[in-house]
Amino acid sequence: MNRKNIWKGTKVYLIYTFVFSILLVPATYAVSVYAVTYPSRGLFKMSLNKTVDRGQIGMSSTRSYDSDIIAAYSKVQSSTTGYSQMPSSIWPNGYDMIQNNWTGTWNNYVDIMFTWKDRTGDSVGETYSYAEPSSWCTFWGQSYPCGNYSVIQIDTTRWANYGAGSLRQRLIEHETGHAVGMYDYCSSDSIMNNGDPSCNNGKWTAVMYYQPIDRTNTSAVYQ
Amino acid sequence: MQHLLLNKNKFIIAGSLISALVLTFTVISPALVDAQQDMLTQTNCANLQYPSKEEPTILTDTETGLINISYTDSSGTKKQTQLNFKKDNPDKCSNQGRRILTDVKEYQAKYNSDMCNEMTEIVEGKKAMPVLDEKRPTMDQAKAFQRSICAMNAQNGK
Repeated sequence: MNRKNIWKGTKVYLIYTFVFSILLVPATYAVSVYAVTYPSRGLFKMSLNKTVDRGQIGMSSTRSYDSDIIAAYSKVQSSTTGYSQMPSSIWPNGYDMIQNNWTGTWNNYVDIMFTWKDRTGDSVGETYSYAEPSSWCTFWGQSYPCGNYSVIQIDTTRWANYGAGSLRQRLIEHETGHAVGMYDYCSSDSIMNNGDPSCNNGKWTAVMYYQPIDRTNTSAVYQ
Repeated sequence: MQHLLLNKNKFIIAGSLISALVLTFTVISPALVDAQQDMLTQTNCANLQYPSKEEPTILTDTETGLINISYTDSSGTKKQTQLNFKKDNPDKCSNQGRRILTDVKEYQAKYNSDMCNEMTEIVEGKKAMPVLDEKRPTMDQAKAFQRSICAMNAQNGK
Protein backbone atom coordinates (compact mmCIF):
# COMPACT_ATOMS: atom_id res chain seq x y z
CA MET A 1 0.00 0.00 0.00
CA ASN A 2 2.24 2.01 1.16
CA ARG A 3 4.73 3.09 -1.38
CA LYS A 4 1.98 3.84 -3.88
CA ASN A 5 -0.10 5.77 -1.40
CA ILE A 6 2.85 7.65 0.00
CA TRP A 7 3.82 8.75 -3.51
CA LYS A 8 0.24 9.76 -4.21
CA GLY A 9 0.06 11.76 -0.99
CA THR A 10 3.39 13.40 -1.71
CA LYS A 11 2.22 14.44 -5.17
CA VAL A 12 -0.97 16.01 -3.83
CA TYR A 13 1.02 17.70 -1.10
CA LEU A 14 3.52 19.17 -3.54
CA ILE A 15 0.78 20.40 -5.85
CA TYR A 16 -1.03 22.17 -3.02
CA THR A 17 2.19 23.74 -1.77
CA PHE A 18 3.09 24.95 -5.25
CA VAL A 19 -0.35 26.47 -5.84
CA PHE A 20 -0.43 28.26 -2.48
CA SER A 21 3.07 29.60 -3.01
CA ILE A 22 2.19 31.00 -6.43
CA LEU A 23 -0.92 32.63 -4.97
CA LEU A 24 1.16 34.21 -2.23
CA VAL A 25 3.69 35.93 -4.51
CA PRO A 26 1.49 38.81 -5.72
CA ALA A 27 -0.03 39.23 -2.28
CA THR A 28 3.39 39.50 -0.67
CA TYR A 29 4.47 42.21 -3.07
CA ALA A 30 1.19 44.11 -3.15
CA VAL A 31 1.11 44.63 0.60
CA SER A 32 4.13 46.90 0.75
CA VAL A 33 3.95 48.70 -2.56
CA TYR A 34 1.46 51.51 -2.15
CA ALA A 35 1.39 52.77 1.39
CA VAL A 36 2.41 52.19 4.97
CA THR A 37 -0.42 51.96 7.47
CA TYR A 38 -1.04 54.32 10.34
CA PRO A 39 0.44 54.76 12.96
CA SER A 40 3.81 54.05 11.30
CA ARG A 41 2.88 56.57 8.62
CA GLY A 42 -0.04 58.88 8.04
CA LEU A 43 -1.25 62.03 9.72
CA PHE A 44 -2.52 61.99 13.29
CA LYS A 45 -5.54 64.14 12.57
CA MET A 46 -6.45 62.01 9.56
CA SER A 47 -6.60 59.03 11.86
CA LEU A 48 -9.06 60.20 14.49
CA ASN A 49 -11.82 57.70 14.52
CA LYS A 50 -14.71 60.08 14.96
CA THR A 51 -16.71 61.48 12.15
CA VAL A 52 -16.53 65.07 13.38
CA ASP A 53 -12.91 65.55 12.48
CA ARG A 54 -11.66 62.53 10.59
CA GLY A 55 -9.81 63.54 7.49
CA GLN A 56 -8.75 67.00 8.62
CA ILE A 57 -5.39 68.15 7.40
CA GLY A 58 -3.89 71.40 8.59
CA MET A 59 -1.29 73.05 6.39
CA SER A 60 1.04 75.99 6.49
CA SER A 61 3.30 77.52 3.89
CA THR A 62 6.53 79.47 4.01
CA ARG A 63 5.12 81.66 1.26
CA SER A 64 2.18 83.97 1.55
CA TYR A 65 -1.28 83.03 0.29
CA ASP A 66 -1.04 80.83 -2.80
CA SER A 67 -4.03 80.43 -5.09
CA ASP A 68 -2.65 77.22 -6.61
CA ILE A 69 -2.47 75.52 -3.22
CA ILE A 70 -6.05 76.60 -2.56
CA ALA A 71 -7.20 75.36 -5.99
CA ALA A 72 -5.32 72.07 -5.56
CA TYR A 73 -6.88 71.48 -2.16
CA SER A 74 -10.31 72.14 -3.53
CA LYS A 75 -9.69 69.43 -6.14
CA VAL A 76 -8.31 67.08 -3.49
CA GLN A 77 -11.37 67.50 -1.31
CA SER A 78 -13.91 67.16 -4.12
CA SER A 79 -12.25 63.99 -5.40
CA THR A 80 -12.07 62.34 -1.97
CA THR A 81 -15.59 63.12 -0.77
CA GLY A 82 -18.60 60.91 -1.40
CA TYR A 83 -16.88 57.97 -3.09
CA SER A 84 -17.29 54.33 -2.22
CA GLN A 85 -13.57 53.88 -1.53
CA MET A 86 -13.80 56.53 1.20
CA PRO A 87 -17.31 56.06 2.63
CA SER A 88 -18.97 59.16 4.04
CA SER A 89 -19.65 57.36 7.32
CA ILE A 90 -15.90 57.44 7.94
CA TRP A 91 -14.77 60.30 5.68
CA PRO A 92 -17.66 62.78 5.77
CA ASN A 93 -15.52 65.51 4.25
CA GLY A 94 -12.88 63.45 2.41
CA TYR A 95 -9.52 65.11 2.79
CA ASP A 96 -10.73 68.08 4.79
CA MET A 97 -7.95 70.49 3.88
CA ILE A 98 -7.57 73.41 6.23
CA GLN A 99 -5.24 76.30 5.51
CA ASN A 100 -4.09 76.86 9.06
CA ASN A 101 -1.68 79.70 8.41
CA TRP A 102 0.54 81.15 5.69
CA THR A 103 3.38 82.06 8.01
CA GLY A 104 5.47 78.90 7.77
CA THR A 105 5.00 78.24 11.48
CA TRP A 106 4.29 74.89 13.09
CA ASN A 107 1.60 74.62 15.76
CA ASN A 108 -0.68 71.92 17.15
CA TYR A 109 -2.97 72.07 14.13
CA VAL A 110 -0.44 71.95 11.30
CA ASP A 111 0.30 68.58 9.64
CA ILE A 112 1.97 69.68 6.42
CA MET A 113 4.42 72.50 5.75
CA PHE A 114 5.05 73.72 2.20
CA THR A 115 8.56 74.97 1.50
CA TRP A 116 10.50 76.01 -1.62
CA LYS A 117 14.18 75.36 -2.33
CA ASP A 118 16.60 74.94 -5.18
CA ARG A 119 16.24 71.28 -6.19
CA THR A 120 18.24 71.44 -9.41
CA GLY A 121 19.19 67.93 -10.48
CA ASP A 122 16.45 66.27 -8.47
CA SER A 123 12.70 65.75 -8.78
CA VAL A 124 10.53 68.87 -8.76
CA GLY A 125 8.97 67.93 -5.42
CA GLU A 126 9.89 65.88 -2.38
CA THR A 127 8.12 65.04 0.85
CA TYR A 128 10.01 64.64 4.12
CA SER A 129 8.03 62.75 6.73
CA TYR A 130 8.87 62.80 10.42
CA ALA A 131 7.53 60.48 13.08
CA GLU A 132 5.73 62.53 15.69
CA PRO A 133 7.84 62.52 18.88
CA SER A 134 6.63 60.20 21.64
CA SER A 135 6.01 63.21 23.91
CA TRP A 136 3.56 64.59 21.35
CA CYS A 137 1.73 61.26 21.28
CA THR A 138 1.51 61.31 25.09
CA PHE A 139 0.27 64.91 24.98
CA TRP A 140 -2.72 63.72 22.99
CA GLY A 141 -3.23 60.58 25.09
CA GLN A 142 -1.87 58.29 22.37
CA SER A 143 0.88 55.72 22.46
CA TYR A 144 3.96 55.98 20.24
CA PRO A 145 4.04 55.77 17.24
CA CYS A 146 1.14 58.07 16.38
CA GLY A 147 1.74 59.08 12.79
CA ASN A 148 3.92 61.76 11.27
CA TYR A 149 4.13 65.35 10.19
CA SER A 150 5.47 66.23 6.76
CA VAL A 151 7.45 68.92 4.99
CA ILE A 152 6.80 69.26 1.27
CA GLN A 153 9.74 70.74 -0.58
CA ILE A 154 9.18 72.23 -4.04
CA ASP A 155 11.81 73.32 -6.54
CA THR A 156 11.75 77.11 -6.72
CA THR A 157 12.76 77.45 -10.37
CA ARG A 158 10.46 74.85 -11.87
CA TRP A 159 7.54 76.09 -9.76
CA ALA A 160 8.09 79.54 -11.25
CA ASN A 161 8.46 78.14 -14.76
CA TYR A 162 5.28 76.08 -14.42
CA GLY A 163 3.28 79.25 -13.90
CA ALA A 164 -0.10 79.27 -12.22
CA GLY A 165 -2.40 76.39 -13.07
CA SER A 166 -2.55 72.65 -13.58
CA LEU A 167 1.12 71.69 -13.26
CA ARG A 168 1.48 73.35 -9.88
CA GLN A 169 -1.82 71.99 -8.65
CA ARG A 170 -1.01 68.47 -9.79
CA LEU A 171 2.28 68.66 -7.92
CA ILE A 172 0.57 69.83 -4.71
CA GLU A 173 -1.96 67.00 -4.95
CA HIS A 174 0.76 64.40 -5.55
CA GLU A 175 2.97 65.54 -2.70
CA THR A 176 -0.03 65.69 -0.39
CA GLY A 177 -0.58 62.02 -1.22
CA HIS A 178 2.92 61.28 0.03
CA ALA A 179 2.29 63.33 3.16
CA VAL A 180 -0.76 61.25 4.06
CA GLY A 181 1.25 58.02 3.68
CA MET A 182 1.16 56.90 0.04
CA TYR A 183 4.08 55.94 -2.20
CA ASP A 184 4.47 56.56 -5.91
CA TYR A 185 3.05 53.71 -7.91
CA CYS A 186 2.58 52.52 -11.43
CA SER A 187 -1.03 51.68 -11.97
CA SER A 188 -4.11 52.78 -13.83
CA ASP A 189 -4.90 56.54 -13.80
CA SER A 190 -3.82 57.89 -10.44
CA ILE A 191 -2.62 61.03 -8.75
CA MET A 192 0.27 58.98 -7.34
CA ASN A 193 1.44 57.85 -10.80
CA ASN A 194 5.21 57.93 -10.74
CA GLY A 195 5.37 59.96 -13.95
CA ASP A 196 7.55 57.44 -15.77
CA PRO A 197 6.63 57.31 -19.51
CA SER A 198 6.51 53.53 -19.24
CA CYS A 199 3.90 53.77 -16.50
CA ASN A 200 0.42 54.25 -17.90
CA ASN A 201 1.89 56.68 -20.44
CA GLY A 202 3.33 58.74 -17.60
CA LYS A 203 0.06 60.48 -16.93
CA TRP A 204 1.55 63.22 -14.83
CA THR A 205 -0.54 66.10 -16.13
CA ALA A 206 -3.53 64.25 -17.51
CA VAL A 207 -4.94 63.31 -14.12
CA MET A 208 -5.94 66.28 -12.00
CA TYR A 209 -8.06 64.54 -9.35
CA TYR A 210 -7.65 61.64 -6.93
CA GLN A 211 -8.66 58.42 -8.65
CA PRO A 212 -10.25 55.22 -7.26
CA ILE A 213 -6.88 53.60 -6.55
CA ASP A 214 -5.68 56.71 -4.70
CA ARG A 215 -8.79 56.70 -2.53
CA THR A 216 -8.45 52.97 -1.89
CA ASN A 217 -4.86 53.41 -0.76
CA THR A 218 -5.73 56.35 1.45
CA SER A 219 -8.38 54.28 3.17
CA ALA A 220 -5.88 51.45 3.54
CA VAL A 221 -3.45 53.71 5.40
CA TYR A 222 -6.03 54.67 8.01
CA GLN A 223 -7.91 51.42 8.56
CA MET B 1 -12.78 -2.71 1.43
CA GLN B 2 -13.71 -0.21 -1.25
CA HIS B 3 -15.16 2.01 1.43
CA LEU B 4 -11.96 1.85 3.43
CA LEU B 5 -9.86 2.74 0.38
CA LEU B 6 -12.05 5.75 -0.35
CA ASN B 7 -11.65 6.98 3.21
CA LYS B 8 -7.92 6.45 2.96
CA ASN B 9 -7.75 8.64 -0.14
CA LYS B 10 -9.75 11.36 1.58
CA PHE B 11 -7.42 11.13 4.52
CA ILE B 12 -4.38 11.49 2.27
CA ILE B 13 -5.85 14.49 0.46
CA ALA B 14 -6.95 16.23 3.65
CA GLY B 15 -3.60 15.55 5.32
CA SER B 16 -1.73 16.89 2.32
CA LEU B 17 -3.88 19.98 2.20
CA ILE B 18 -3.26 20.79 5.86
CA SER B 19 0.48 20.11 5.58
CA ALA B 20 0.74 22.27 2.48
CA LEU B 21 -1.08 25.13 4.18
CA VAL B 22 1.17 24.90 7.22
CA LEU B 23 4.33 24.77 5.10
CA THR B 24 3.20 27.64 2.90
CA PHE B 25 2.33 30.03 5.68
CA THR B 26 5.13 29.14 8.10
CA VAL B 27 8.08 28.63 5.77
CA ILE B 28 7.44 29.83 2.23
CA SER B 29 5.59 33.08 2.99
CA PRO B 30 8.23 34.41 5.42
CA ALA B 31 10.90 33.34 2.93
CA LEU B 32 9.20 35.37 0.20
CA VAL B 33 9.16 38.42 2.44
CA ASP B 34 12.84 37.88 3.23
CA ALA B 35 13.58 37.54 -0.47
CA GLN B 36 11.79 40.82 -1.10
CA GLN B 37 13.88 42.49 1.60
CA ASP B 38 17.05 41.06 0.10
CA MET B 39 16.25 42.92 -3.11
CA LEU B 40 16.67 46.16 -1.19
CA THR B 41 20.38 46.66 -1.62
CA GLN B 42 21.99 48.69 1.08
CA THR B 43 23.84 51.85 0.13
CA ASN B 44 25.44 54.42 2.36
CA CYS B 45 25.70 58.16 2.67
CA ALA B 46 28.83 58.46 0.56
CA ASN B 47 27.40 56.75 -2.50
CA LEU B 48 23.71 57.50 -2.15
CA GLN B 49 22.74 58.18 -5.73
CA TYR B 50 19.35 57.93 -7.34
CA PRO B 51 17.92 59.07 -10.69
CA SER B 52 16.99 62.73 -10.88
CA LYS B 53 13.35 61.92 -11.64
CA GLU B 54 13.12 59.60 -8.64
CA GLU B 55 11.27 60.79 -5.58
CA PRO B 56 12.54 58.71 -2.69
CA THR B 57 10.47 58.00 0.39
CA ILE B 58 12.14 59.73 3.33
CA LEU B 59 10.92 58.96 6.83
CA THR B 60 12.76 60.31 9.85
CA ASP B 61 12.56 59.11 13.42
CA THR B 62 12.81 62.38 15.30
CA GLU B 63 14.17 60.86 18.49
CA THR B 64 16.82 58.47 17.22
CA GLY B 65 17.72 60.67 14.25
CA LEU B 66 17.41 57.74 11.84
CA ILE B 67 16.39 58.65 8.29
CA ASN B 68 15.01 55.73 6.28
CA ILE B 69 15.34 56.36 2.56
CA SER B 70 13.77 54.08 -0.05
CA TYR B 71 14.13 54.61 -3.77
CA THR B 72 14.40 52.85 -7.12
CA ASP B 73 17.63 53.17 -9.07
CA SER B 74 17.92 53.66 -12.82
CA SER B 75 17.95 49.90 -13.41
CA GLY B 76 14.65 49.53 -11.59
CA THR B 77 16.19 47.96 -8.49
CA LYS B 78 14.61 48.93 -5.20
CA LYS B 79 17.11 50.20 -2.70
CA GLN B 80 17.05 51.54 0.78
CA THR B 81 19.52 53.14 3.08
CA GLN B 82 19.66 54.72 6.50
CA LEU B 83 21.26 57.99 7.46
CA ASN B 84 21.30 59.59 10.88
CA PHE B 85 20.98 63.34 11.13
CA LYS B 86 22.39 63.27 14.63
CA LYS B 87 25.50 61.30 13.73
CA ASP B 88 26.31 61.50 10.03
CA ASN B 89 28.58 64.24 8.74
CA PRO B 90 27.01 65.85 5.62
CA ASP B 91 30.48 66.61 4.25
CA LYS B 92 31.10 62.89 3.85
CA CYS B 93 27.92 62.31 1.86
CA SER B 94 27.18 62.35 -1.85
CA ASN B 95 25.34 65.40 -3.19
CA GLN B 96 21.94 63.80 -2.78
CA GLY B 97 22.81 62.36 0.62
CA ARG B 98 24.10 65.72 1.78
CA ARG B 99 20.96 67.53 0.66
CA ILE B 100 18.70 65.05 2.43
CA LEU B 101 20.77 65.17 5.60
CA THR B 102 20.95 68.96 5.81
CA ASP B 103 17.30 69.50 4.86
CA VAL B 104 16.05 66.91 7.33
CA LYS B 105 18.07 68.54 10.07
CA GLU B 106 16.95 72.06 9.16
CA TYR B 107 13.25 71.18 9.05
CA GLN B 108 13.49 69.21 12.26
CA ALA B 109 15.09 72.19 14.02
CA LYS B 110 12.34 74.49 12.75
CA TYR B 111 9.63 72.15 14.00
CA ASN B 112 11.24 71.87 17.43
CA SER B 113 11.68 75.63 17.69
CA ASP B 114 8.13 76.47 16.61
CA MET B 115 6.55 73.82 18.81
CA CYS B 116 8.67 74.86 21.79
CA ASN B 117 7.38 78.42 21.37
CA GLU B 118 3.81 77.22 20.86
CA MET B 119 3.81 75.01 23.95
CA THR B 120 5.54 77.63 26.10
CA GLU B 121 2.77 80.11 25.25
CA ILE B 122 0.16 77.49 26.11
CA VAL B 123 1.80 76.63 29.41
CA GLU B 124 2.09 80.33 30.28
CA GLY B 125 -1.59 80.82 29.51
CA LYS B 126 -0.96 83.18 26.59
CA LYS B 127 -2.52 80.78 24.15
CA ALA B 128 -5.52 78.46 24.49
CA MET B 129 -5.08 74.73 24.95
CA PRO B 130 -5.58 73.04 21.57
CA VAL B 131 -8.58 70.82 20.96
CA LEU B 132 -8.70 68.03 18.42
CA ASP B 133 -11.67 65.80 17.87
CA GLU B 134 -13.14 66.98 21.17
CA LYS B 135 -9.97 65.98 23.00
CA ARG B 136 -8.42 68.68 25.17
CA PRO B 137 -5.10 67.75 26.84
CA THR B 138 -4.56 68.65 30.49
CA MET B 139 -2.12 71.32 31.61
CA ASP B 140 0.13 68.61 33.08
CA GLN B 141 0.26 66.92 29.68
CA ALA B 142 1.04 70.27 28.08
CA LYS B 143 3.86 70.94 30.53
CA ALA B 144 5.37 67.51 29.93
CA PHE B 145 5.32 68.02 26.17
CA GLN B 146 6.68 71.56 26.51
CA ARG B 147 9.64 70.31 28.57
CA SER B 148 10.37 67.55 26.10
CA ILE B 149 10.09 69.58 22.88
CA CYS B 150 12.06 72.49 24.34
CA ALA B 151 14.79 70.07 25.43
CA MET B 152 14.90 68.75 21.86
CA ASN B 153 15.02 72.33 20.62
CA ALA B 154 17.97 73.06 22.90
CA GLN B 155 19.79 70.16 21.25
CA ASN B 156 19.30 71.64 17.77
CA GLY B 157 22.45 73.66 17.72
CA LYS B 158 24.66 70.98 19.25
